[in-house]
Amino acid sequence: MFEKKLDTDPYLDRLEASDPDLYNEILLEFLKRPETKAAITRHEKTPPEILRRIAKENGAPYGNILSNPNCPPELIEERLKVGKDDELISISQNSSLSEDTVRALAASSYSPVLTWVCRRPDCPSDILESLFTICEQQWESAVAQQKLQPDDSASMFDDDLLFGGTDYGVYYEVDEYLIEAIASNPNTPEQVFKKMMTMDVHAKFFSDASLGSTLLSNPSVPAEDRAFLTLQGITKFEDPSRHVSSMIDHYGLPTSQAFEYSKFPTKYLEALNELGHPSALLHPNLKIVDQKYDFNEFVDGWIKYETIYRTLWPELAQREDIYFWYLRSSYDGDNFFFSIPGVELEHEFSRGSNTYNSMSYPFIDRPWVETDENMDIEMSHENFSNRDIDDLFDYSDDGEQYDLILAFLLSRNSWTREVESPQYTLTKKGEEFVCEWAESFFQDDRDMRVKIIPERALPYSWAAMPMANKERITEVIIQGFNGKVDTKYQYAEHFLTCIALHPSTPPSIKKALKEIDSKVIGQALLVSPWKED
Amino acid sequence: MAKVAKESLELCTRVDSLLTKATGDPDAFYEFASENEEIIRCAFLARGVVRELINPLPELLTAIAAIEAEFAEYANQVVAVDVDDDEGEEDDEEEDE
Repeated sequence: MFEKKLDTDPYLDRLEASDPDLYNEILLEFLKRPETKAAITRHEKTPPEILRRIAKENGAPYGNILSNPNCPPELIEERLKVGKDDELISISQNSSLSEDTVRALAASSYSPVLTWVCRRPDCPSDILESLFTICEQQWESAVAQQKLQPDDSASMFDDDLLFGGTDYGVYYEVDEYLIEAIASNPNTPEQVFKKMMTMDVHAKFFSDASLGSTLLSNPSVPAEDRAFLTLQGITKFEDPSRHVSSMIDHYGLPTSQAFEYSKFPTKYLEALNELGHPSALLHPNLKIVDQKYDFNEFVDGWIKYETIYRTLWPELAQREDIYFWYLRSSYDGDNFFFSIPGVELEHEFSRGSNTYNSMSYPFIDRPWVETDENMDIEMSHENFSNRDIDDLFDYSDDGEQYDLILAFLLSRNSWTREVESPQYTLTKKGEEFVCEWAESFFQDDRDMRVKIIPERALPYSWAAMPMANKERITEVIIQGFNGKVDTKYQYAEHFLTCIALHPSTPPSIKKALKEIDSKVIGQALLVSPWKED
Repeated sequence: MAKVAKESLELCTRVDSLLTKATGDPDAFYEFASENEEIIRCAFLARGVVRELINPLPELLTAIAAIEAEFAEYANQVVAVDVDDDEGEEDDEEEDE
């Protein structure tokens, strides 16, 4: 067992401190829905009896429960006996294990489990020494193999060298995660460090550290060894994020999940609102409270749960000049975005990451968005218009490329009015030909129309938001934009652009937006005229 | 479909045949296409007329007539290659690498 800062939801912590009865009530309320139930297992102060109840159910999120310091000991024992690799990894990340449990985990044959065991501040010295023998054997075997190779063969495998640049040129055969975990643990005995000093201390690990820099950062390594490493030009590797994994950072606040459900009892949402919860600020049925609202603190949660998009995007569809699109691409990842003539919204698509003008978390089922997969002539043109003949040659099979090029050329001035003097019109047969080829070619990487259904985004709605809330939210976002922190201000700029474009934004807010130094917000206001008060 | 005049259809049929010849050597055609966009556009649209996919306006037929001679000069000197053999060689090369 070791002490660590618990990974907790700060709003639950505040509620526990201010109203313990209500805190217990809300935890029980979380048990009523599968999603909130899973979320509460990430809060490392959820009591054992609640975790025990959740664990008994089908489909229980064992990973979260087993790594939670409050996980009931009998459950850990039971899963330890079952011995599933992924569950053993979760257990090995739990900070409140007995020494016996740590020793049981160290008997695993699964390397990632051993690595997590060796990362533990409470890992006994003899386990570290014993597990180091695995790395030692790998090292010795690799050195021996290398010695058997003809002198010139090493160069053929330069890319595979872990410890390249040494006299040995040892192949990539040492478990570097394990050796790095042992080298960084202060409980590792001195004799292990001495052996490590005979290995290659310069080669980089995946983490960008090296064996030398890891040893140099470990206070238990003897001073003379550290001095020797320094003399070789090695410096300490400081990366505070190394091996720190926060489930709450990754998945978002458990309490934010409560705001996802329209039927979650209002009294609990109000209690969280009183504590200044970020999702509460966007909830139109909750009043503004006397709390400090910080955009930079809130924005990650707003984006992760998409509450800000649910608030601002759906009603934009009321504008006839705004077009919503869905790009499906296994290369770029899926992206959901909108465009409007006269407003230059940059879309920098990138797989798996969020970009500020679009939603890039793929494959999320959003009740308020329906994709329309129909490849009609308009969508065929839209998709072909992003390609050129080279693309069609490169990505089509022999025998089909010439019909594909024909379809591409025909789509250019068929239905579209972009061509000033059309030289032909498509026949019905021609239209079917273009659509069939578009359908066949753009299966993976294609734009689709989307239908927006604002009612399904409720309760989030900018139109339904009381005036005071709209003003407060705008003010908070403007502060975020002016703060220019990291890339967060770019999100702020996008949300302010949405507010400028929104049909339900009152003139007083548009006037305030006019003062902001942003080209895109200025463009949004130009296409969204308003009457002065 | 609106009826295309006999002469126009004959023009489009000739250009379509040239296109078939021109694509006999795909690699050479690829190069030619990248430097002669308008010729290629007109040649394919001629094929669209022959296959009854489009109703041409007079401007298109004029454009097709304008490229016929230059396209014929290219297409008539193309020697068709066996695509499968060509591909096989490429595969072998990749394997060697």
